[in-house]
Amino acid sequence: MSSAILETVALTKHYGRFEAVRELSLAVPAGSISGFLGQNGAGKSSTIKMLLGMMRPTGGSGRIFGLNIEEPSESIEIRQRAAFVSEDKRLYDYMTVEQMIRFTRSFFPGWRGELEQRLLREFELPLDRKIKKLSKGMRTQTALLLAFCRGAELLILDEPTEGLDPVNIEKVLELLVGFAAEGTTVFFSSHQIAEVEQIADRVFIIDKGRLLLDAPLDEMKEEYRRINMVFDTPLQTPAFALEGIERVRVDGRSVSIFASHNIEGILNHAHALHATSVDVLPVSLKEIFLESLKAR
Amino acid sequence: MLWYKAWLETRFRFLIGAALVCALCAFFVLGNPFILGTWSEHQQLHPAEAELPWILRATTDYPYFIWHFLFARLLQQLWVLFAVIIGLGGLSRESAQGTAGFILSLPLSRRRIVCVRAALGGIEVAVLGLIPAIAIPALSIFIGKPYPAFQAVSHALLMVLGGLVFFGLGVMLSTAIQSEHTPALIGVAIVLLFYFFLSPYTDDGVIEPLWIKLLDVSRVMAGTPALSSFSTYPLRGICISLLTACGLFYLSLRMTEKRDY
Repeated sequence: MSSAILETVALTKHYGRFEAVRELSLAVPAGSISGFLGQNGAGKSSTIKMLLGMMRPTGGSGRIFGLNIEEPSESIEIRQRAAFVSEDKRLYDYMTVEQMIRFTRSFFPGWRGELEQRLLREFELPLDRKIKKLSKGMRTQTALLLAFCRGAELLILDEPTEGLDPVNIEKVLELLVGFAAEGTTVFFSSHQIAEVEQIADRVFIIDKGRLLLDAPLDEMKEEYRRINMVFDTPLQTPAFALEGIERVRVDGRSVSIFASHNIEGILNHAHALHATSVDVLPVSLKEIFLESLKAR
Repeated sequence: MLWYKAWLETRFRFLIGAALVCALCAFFVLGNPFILGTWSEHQQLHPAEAELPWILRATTDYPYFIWHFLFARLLQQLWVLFAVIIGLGGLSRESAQGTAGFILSLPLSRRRIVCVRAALGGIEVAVLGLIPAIAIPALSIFIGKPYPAFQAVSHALLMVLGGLVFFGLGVMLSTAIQSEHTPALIGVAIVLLFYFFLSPYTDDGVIEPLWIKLLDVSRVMAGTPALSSFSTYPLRGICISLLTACGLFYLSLRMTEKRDY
């Protein structure tokens, strides 16, 4: 991984008194596939819109390719080099698929014609059909084709697989991995945590506009653990006020701990408390995501 | 391709407008003998009734007949309606339709998006206004009553230049109101109300209150029945209308540049 291609520092967005994004600082490494996770209304779309110049930040700053996201002329250059697929994937209903492609292609000198042909075949998109007559899945496929073929250095995708069937989801995920292999950076938000877990190198978890977690996925899965313990006598939660423990659930004699690090220290502590049984289990990204939200 | 997109967005409105303008011109030009005949019959059946002064003049003065029905009234009203309707569109409307995310992801400035859309709309409303300049003299040949081409062009130009403020109004409404249909409803309502309040004062000789004199864009657009030269143009009214149109457009541009989508 090299330096950050996309970087925000204390990026903030207020809608009146509501804080949609609060001092968000993140750095997306060049060539990575970064998953941007969060609940509905967590601030993902607002962040993406600020990055692409659709919204003005209330505070903080952001840079993509070293260019200032708030500077209109630099924002145009960002959009020349970055492709975006919005959450709702709305395209022009009055255009056919072919017109949509022709229109989008005209703005990108590096348009990948061979990829366009390949995706048209793979997605089986009817060129002469109006966008309004396409199914939701086909609309998503068209929006993805329009983004993928721009020859972009950075793909910013908001829920890219929404509305696709499992076969096409797999195709899209494979394509994303392929793009990353070619050097394209992929930054995508998704509610499908399994998809993020399948392809992402790095994960950002955001909640109520704040960054909760930012780490490489491998590192995260390596370090996070669930530790289940059983004791002879019931314990109290304060007995586990240790570094690395994100959440403790005490149920009589059973204690379940969700830990981000310091596993050894926690295990030593458990043995010191005379635990009769201790199980250390790996955790999925979904579990990390859910526990991170609960831990707040 | 931005021009092409703007054309795809507005072509139905423009073509419907063009068809209606042609139909209206054809109705009053080709129907002129029939209308005059009806008036004549009515006069013969009711000889005691005094003919209205404008009917007397329109019976003998064909260019006045055309001016009265088309440039001063129905054609003008139709054109104004389509000037507002064609002006509707832009990023706020795209935002309401959910497509703003797509267009704003393209390497384009908001200024360019707004300007291209407005320029194409402006060309379309100008063409709509200039259709009568060709249609009226051409159709007049068929009824054997020549209509001076200069007069037709002058009135058409006057209608367009004086009425661009309505196009600016359409652009402004659809920028200020982030909705798909509300700007159209408000725009049409404004046009209807404008002509509703103006109608009692459109007949010759009626005393007008000051507010009508100040706000009568319709009178500027109509000019005088016979425009013999460009010096007879109501230049002050045209300038005010054009400046207002430019002001509305500039305001729309600034709003678009500042808004979050």
